[in-house]
Amino acid sequence: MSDAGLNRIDGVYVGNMLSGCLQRQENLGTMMANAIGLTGVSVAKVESACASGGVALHVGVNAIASGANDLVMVAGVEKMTSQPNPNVTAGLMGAEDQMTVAGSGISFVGLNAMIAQAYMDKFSVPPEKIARFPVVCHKHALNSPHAQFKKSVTVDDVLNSPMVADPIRLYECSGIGDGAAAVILASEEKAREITDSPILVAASAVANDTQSLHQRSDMTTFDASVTSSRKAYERAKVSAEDIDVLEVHDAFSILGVMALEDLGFVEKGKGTTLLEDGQIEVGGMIPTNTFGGLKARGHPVGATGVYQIVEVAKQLRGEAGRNQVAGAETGYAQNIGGIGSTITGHILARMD
Amino acid sequence: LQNASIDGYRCQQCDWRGLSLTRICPKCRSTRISPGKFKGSGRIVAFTKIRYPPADFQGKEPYTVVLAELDEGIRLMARLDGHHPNARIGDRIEVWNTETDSRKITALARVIGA
Repeated sequence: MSDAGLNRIDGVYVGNMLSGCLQRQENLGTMMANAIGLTGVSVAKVESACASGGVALHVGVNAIASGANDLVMVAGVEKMTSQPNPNVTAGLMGAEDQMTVAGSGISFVGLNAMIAQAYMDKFSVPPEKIARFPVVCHKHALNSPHAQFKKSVTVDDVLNSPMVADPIRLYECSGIGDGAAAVILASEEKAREITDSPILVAASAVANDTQSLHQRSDMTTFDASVTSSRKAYERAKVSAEDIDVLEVHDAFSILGVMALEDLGFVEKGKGTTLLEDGQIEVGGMIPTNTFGGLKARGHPVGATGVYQIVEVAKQLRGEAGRNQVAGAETGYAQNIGGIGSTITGHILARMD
Repeated sequence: LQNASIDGYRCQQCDWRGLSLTRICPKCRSTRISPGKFKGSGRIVAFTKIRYPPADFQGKEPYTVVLAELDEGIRLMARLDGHHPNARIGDRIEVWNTETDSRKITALARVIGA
């Protein structure tokens, strides 16, 4: 709010997944509004598993677009370190069906491990090719002030890290962590009044799929990723070639690879070819996760989708520091909830 | 386990089959959904070894969870019962539900052949 020079807004929408489960705290909309001294405004907690942040933004955008609100704060918050890891692992499984899936004992890493297994098998991609994804994220995080893991790792480090759920290893997983991020939304006219560097939300799209992995015949693509991106491109009247900076939901490295394909940057099964010669690094064809992504910036689940928006906005405003993508005008953020069951696509653009 | 079976649902119009109750068929949009019982014989489509389990499964790790495809066409997640160090994709398995309320699935499986 200080960045926007504001001290009053009329809507507060908070993305969060696990506060009820881990802290027994709900009603976060009014809690956050109170924390900035507000009563009498529109509030809500928005929950869509790990896409809570992205869906909260979608709700905020619609509140502005409909005229229901004039000035909105969309925040994403999550505190995951207050409970032992098995409780967090069980809480994250809340994104899957408790009646038919959770009883198998599978974890979210395990679900993604099945995807990784199917992907590597179908496209004959070895683990060392996928292992380049977290290497790039860690490299970007070295210059990211708010990153959780500011250290560089090598492909060998990734391949030698402990197995978590075969074939996924520790350094292919985002960590458990706490975090919060927020953005202010306003109509175009209002935005120009309150800031010299407004960023346009050119598209806000959501698509869902079946809640469970076992309900799908093809595990190597997320239909909701394809659908949300095509909706977003159509609404913003752009295509993948127009995107200058990209944030993808690499909760596990395989998801980063699949995102590059599903969002249209490379043919299906060829995602790892973009990792071979720096094409997803700053200076490459499609700079991706320039603040470290979920792997290295961190993945406080309900906050992640809003972190991504803040990061894309920083790039478009030329405020990304040493990882600035020169001349970035259009950015895309993909936020995934559940096992590809709720996916958001946001396109941001400079307004000058 | 001759009578191992899994309860689910099927569409009377297009024969879609699934594990979770839906009021409208996701395939043909018919509302003629009825309960179905499916034989527990099938094969492994995918598997993973869980080394860091959710809270309710602490102490059981490591264990293997398989994505099973039953011969009658539905898929579900099931935990391998007992020691199956060499489970692979395509192995024949037998799957059964350990819940007394059959609308909730807590499935176990065992490998019965390659």
